[in-house]
Amino acid sequence: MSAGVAISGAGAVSALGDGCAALAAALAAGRDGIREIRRFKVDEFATRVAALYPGWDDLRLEPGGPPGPVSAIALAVAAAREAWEDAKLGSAGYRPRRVAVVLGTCFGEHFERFSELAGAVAAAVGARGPCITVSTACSSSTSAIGIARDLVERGTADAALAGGADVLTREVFAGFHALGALSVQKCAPFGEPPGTTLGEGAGFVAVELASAARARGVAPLALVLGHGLSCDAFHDTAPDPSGAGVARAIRAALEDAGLGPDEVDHVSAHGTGTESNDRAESRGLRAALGERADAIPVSATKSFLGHAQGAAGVLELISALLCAREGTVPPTLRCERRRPGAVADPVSAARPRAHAVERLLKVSAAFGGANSALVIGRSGAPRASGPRREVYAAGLGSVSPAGLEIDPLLRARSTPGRIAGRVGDFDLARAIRTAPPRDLDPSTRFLAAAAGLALADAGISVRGAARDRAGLFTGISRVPSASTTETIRSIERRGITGIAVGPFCGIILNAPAGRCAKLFALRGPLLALSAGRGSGLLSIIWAAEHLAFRRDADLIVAAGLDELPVEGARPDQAEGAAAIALTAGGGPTRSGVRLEGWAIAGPGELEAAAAEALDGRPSEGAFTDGGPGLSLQALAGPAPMGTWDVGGLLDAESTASAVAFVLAVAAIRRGLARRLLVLAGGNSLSCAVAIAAQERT
Amino acid sequence: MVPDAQARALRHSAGLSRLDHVRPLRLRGDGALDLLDALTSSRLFIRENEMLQTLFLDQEARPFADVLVAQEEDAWLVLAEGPTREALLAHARRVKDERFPGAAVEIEDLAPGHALLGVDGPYAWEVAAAALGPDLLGAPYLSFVRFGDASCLRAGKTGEYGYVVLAPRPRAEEIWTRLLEVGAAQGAEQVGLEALDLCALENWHFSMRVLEGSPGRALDLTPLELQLQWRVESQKEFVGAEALRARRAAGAKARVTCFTAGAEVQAGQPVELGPARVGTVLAAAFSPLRRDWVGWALLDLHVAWPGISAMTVAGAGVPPVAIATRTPPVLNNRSLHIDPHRHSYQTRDRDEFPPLVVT
Amino acid sequence: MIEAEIAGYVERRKQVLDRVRRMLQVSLGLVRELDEIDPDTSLFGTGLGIDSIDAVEILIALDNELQVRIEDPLDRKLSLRSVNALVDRVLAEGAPRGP
Repeated sequence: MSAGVAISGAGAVSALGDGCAALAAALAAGRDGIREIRRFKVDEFATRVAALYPGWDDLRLEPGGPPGPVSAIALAVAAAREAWEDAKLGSAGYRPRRVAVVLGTCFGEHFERFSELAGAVAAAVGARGPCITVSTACSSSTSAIGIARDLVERGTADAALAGGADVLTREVFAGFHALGALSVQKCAPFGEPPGTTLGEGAGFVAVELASAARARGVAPLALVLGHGLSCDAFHDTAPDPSGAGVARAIRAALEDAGLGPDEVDHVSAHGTGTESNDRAESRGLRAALGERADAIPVSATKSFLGHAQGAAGVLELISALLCAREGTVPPTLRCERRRPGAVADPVSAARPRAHAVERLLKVSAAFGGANSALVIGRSGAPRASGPRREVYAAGLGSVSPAGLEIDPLLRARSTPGRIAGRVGDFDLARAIRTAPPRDLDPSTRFLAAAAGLALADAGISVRGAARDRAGLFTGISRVPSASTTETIRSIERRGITGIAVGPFCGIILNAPAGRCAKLFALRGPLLALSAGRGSGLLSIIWAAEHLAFRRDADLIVAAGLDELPVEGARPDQAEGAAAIALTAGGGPTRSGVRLEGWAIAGPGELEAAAAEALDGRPSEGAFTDGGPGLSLQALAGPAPMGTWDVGGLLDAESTASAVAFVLAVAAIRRGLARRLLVLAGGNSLSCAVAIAAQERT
Repeated sequence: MVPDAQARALRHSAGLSRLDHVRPLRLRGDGALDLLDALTSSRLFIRENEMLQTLFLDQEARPFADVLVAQEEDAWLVLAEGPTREALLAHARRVKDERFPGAAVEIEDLAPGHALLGVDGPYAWEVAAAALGPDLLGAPYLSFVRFGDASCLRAGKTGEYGYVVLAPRPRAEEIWTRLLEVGAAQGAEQVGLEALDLCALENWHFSMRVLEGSPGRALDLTPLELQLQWRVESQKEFVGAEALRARRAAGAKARVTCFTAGAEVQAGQPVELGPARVGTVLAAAFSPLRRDWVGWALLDLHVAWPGISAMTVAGAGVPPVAIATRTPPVLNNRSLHIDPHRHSYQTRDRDEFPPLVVT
Repeated sequence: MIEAEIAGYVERRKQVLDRVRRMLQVSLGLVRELDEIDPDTSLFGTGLGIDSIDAVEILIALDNELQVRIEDPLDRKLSLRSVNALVDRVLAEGAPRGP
């Protein structure tokens, strides 16, 4: 952990225009980007304002018609290019496969093609390293920056572009409107009247080792000192009113940074302006920072940019850094009447205030309860990283068209053929001790069952304070289809103002994870990661990274999840979920399987990932989801089990790689091998994990 | 008759009560959840620090206890109203022995060492938070907060903000003193069980005393007739499930219905429609705030509906009293309109609220 | 005859109750039979234990399926107190059109 990981450049496209210069100028002038909406029809709504990208102001989109140039990819690429140029990464000499992209988004490109956004950004700047999409609703880009920091710090990448992008569509607007979250006026975070304003945009920061940036003459904007995650496990859309979830994420970030509350000078709040959010956040800040929360300026930049969804965290952070460069903090506009209970100093002013910022806290909260916090600053503290902890696969759970058992899947190894189709009816009570009295959407059912089975298999019952240290990571590539279909149908049947809010809350990638976390009261880190094929294995590896290198969680359930589309599924396609209860810090588990090594690499780099994960050790075989025609020459040793293309057994984009992992662990438990390699990858990345039987003591 | 001051306090400020009639138990051990599952009629879907209102039924599907179950970190808390301590413990132990012999369950009777206090009313949150701590303000309904060795559960049977405090006796006395102190400045009054029961009647909150004080026991009422099916999980094999299923299959013949009356009516009196008897009064009390009588009657299904004013109650030696069936609650509870973040007892005169009495 | 009037009123109420129960079952995804939803079951807090999102769903479904639009915040609060309160509100609007 030399000189730390730096933010060496930034790019922004937002309601305030193209580029960081436009953003900085607007901030300095106290000019917000919230205007009357003309781009799409809003006559039916009580709210008529939003913070939209001005470049599309002349468009007049027909309801239900084509989106035209409105594209998250377009914004993402523009912002990413600016960050790349700003950091002069073109002259950095990094090999392309050592440059990663971590992108946060709520809605992808019109609810589809989630992992393609990151791929488009990578192609635009010539990056060939891993492309990871984070989709935890409003905290996506904040988490993306934290993940990028980890990738660079641990040497998986030399540099990364991290940020987020989202565009505002009429359907999304209608959903928030139906939820009653929108203010009729421009939002007034921490002030009156309550309510939020939606926005859109894209932002990226270039992340690399500070020493490397300085070596080519680029002065870092700031250092990424710490990152923390937590889950409210409370409600689909409302935050835990006590603010405990937000507080946990902040504490985790501070601990990661090795800093205390007194070393934070400024907070860039999530600050949406809704009653529930502002209240929970104010409480959470006080719980985590004590008296400091009311002694430092807390800015809500959504008063300028609206709620830019997947780009919110990164754009707000960039805004804070642009102001910090001028020795100021951004104001919170329209906060003349501070709401009772809000933080004491929301920087209620028309212009930025002079205030030296050595270190700031970026806080984001999200639908589904995924909280994320970053500590960013000019200088850090020396951090003792502590020994890397051993990570164990303690329990397995699987839900597939073949049922809730793992054995039929394991037996399928010797019989060619596919397991395809839908998951049949099953009694959720078999997997969760007390199931809720309401129907769950299919994705949440699969994930809950798989997670419940994994926890039961591990013999783990998460109680009390352990819940704060238990998390859930899902690898998922598509928006849950049943929720999407219901939402669309509700609009068809009842008009745009009749959009069904329950299903609307289900059309974020993080919805099943958020709902499951609530079912199991898992209040530790929560992530939904997307990388196309291999997403499941990616979530397993990221969970292992978190457990091995951090001390804020002891258990993370990592899973892959797929739901078949309501219509138009290919005959060979399958749905389901596979979950692994991963543990660290508690010593060897009764299941007897340890994660020895793992690697994440760029697309087409399966052999390199395999080699890195094995680190010279011999493997007895490989279970893979690497796509058709994958051949592996690089397995060291005789590999008596050969390779098993689990993706050929189960055509489920995110889940197959998690199933491969489950089967490999099962095989080792049954004594069929002592060490196996699990590999997966597609167009976004390649990843590998080496697992081994625990040594008998 | 409930004293005016108590009725007013519960609907306009806060009522402080000793809940000595509620039996607290704690269940621990690997078998505790299974036992609770067998005892309770509901699906026990609660997470830690959450509670739910449920029932213990007897083998004939009649309510044996009105129960609040809370999940603590390592145990289950049960607050039961209805049976005596001895009867409650005997019931729990019997079910354990019959269904789970040898199971690891510890049933701890908390009554000897603990006391229960109640704080109910539109500003109960203010009084309770002043006495215990501001953390209470964020607590959602049916959750609880610990304050050292005391637990404050947000639950009540009045339709207003309500809190139940469970603490070891010495601490409970300290808290009671503190409640009285801070309550004095908040217009709070000590209130008795009768006042609480009146609020339950007005707000359609089930109370075991509605059954006990009435010929209800003889009338063999189950959750079906009592409109308590929301507390029943029909897919579960709890004590009384079979009898309840049989009753459901046979079909309920009557249903408990809320009514108001302009003159006194009493439990046990028959309800008539013209010359025909159509039901029985289960409970009734005078409501000082409404200035009429509120009650529950068990009525034959064809008239067990709100909005009927043609029935009368016959008393001995008095003219029949006309009753009007209603959709409860019969009060527009102030608590519905109070936001602890914006309102306060001190500003109540400046704050605007809709009328309390529903006509 | 009083009894005939009552019978007529009860029949109207039953029909609306049935439609309201169905609407609730679908909007809330309840794992319950219709007749397990007692008429005086409360919606918020105890009873069906709905939350703010459910409330939005119910109001939209009321509008679309029962042609009853409740806009006034106080009216909403009071109408959503229980199943019977919803039935009362629908009846107050006049007989619902449609199937």
